[in-house]
Amino acid sequence: MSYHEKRAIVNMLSSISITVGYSVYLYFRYLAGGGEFANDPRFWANAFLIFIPISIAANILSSVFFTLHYRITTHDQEPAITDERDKLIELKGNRNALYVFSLGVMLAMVTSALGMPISAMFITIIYSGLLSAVVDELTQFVLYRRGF
Amino acid sequence: MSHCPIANSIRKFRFNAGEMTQDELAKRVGVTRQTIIAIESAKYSPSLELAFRIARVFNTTVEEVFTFEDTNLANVKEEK
Repeated sequence: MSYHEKRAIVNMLSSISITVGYSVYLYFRYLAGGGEFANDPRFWANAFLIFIPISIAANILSSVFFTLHYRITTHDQEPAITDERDKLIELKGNRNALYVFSLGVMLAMVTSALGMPISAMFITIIYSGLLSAVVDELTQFVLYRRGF
Repeated sequence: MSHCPIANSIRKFRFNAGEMTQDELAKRVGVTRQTIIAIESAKYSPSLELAFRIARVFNTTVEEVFTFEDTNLANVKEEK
């Protein structure tokens, strides 16, 4: 398995674990609040704003740990150059991720239009973000696996 | 996967260049070895710039290294 394939898998697992971990933390906060947060936009806006820097920091950390682990286990450096094929693969991954996230945002609007609790809208947005990250990495993994 | 209509003779040119390795060619044109593998196996069509760089390494023209094999175009010609 090449460096890029391994990196795609690590990024995917990292995104899943960060989002699931944060969801569990939010669920316990929700339970501690006696369920009164379900329709409180402030709670969800705060939860969202806190999640963004946490996920960025966690992704940076996982990237650093992956690079160190790769260097130690393979006694090799990560590829020094990013060529045109790498950029095209990244663009295809990003394109697919944007499709998924756009659908997720539309679905979130639908939940709001149907009069569902505001929590449904925010949960849909958070999980469509996760799904789009998974689709991004999965697309890159498949393209690197089969050559292009 | 869509069929890549651009065939190439990179393997032949590498052989004629003293069995030049894919890694050496990759370094000389500024891409990764995986990209050279993908081009050689016709999974990836290189950009025009990369095609010229590869041809220049072998001191030849792009047409000698890469050929366009459009089956649709061939069918149209046959119909005419």
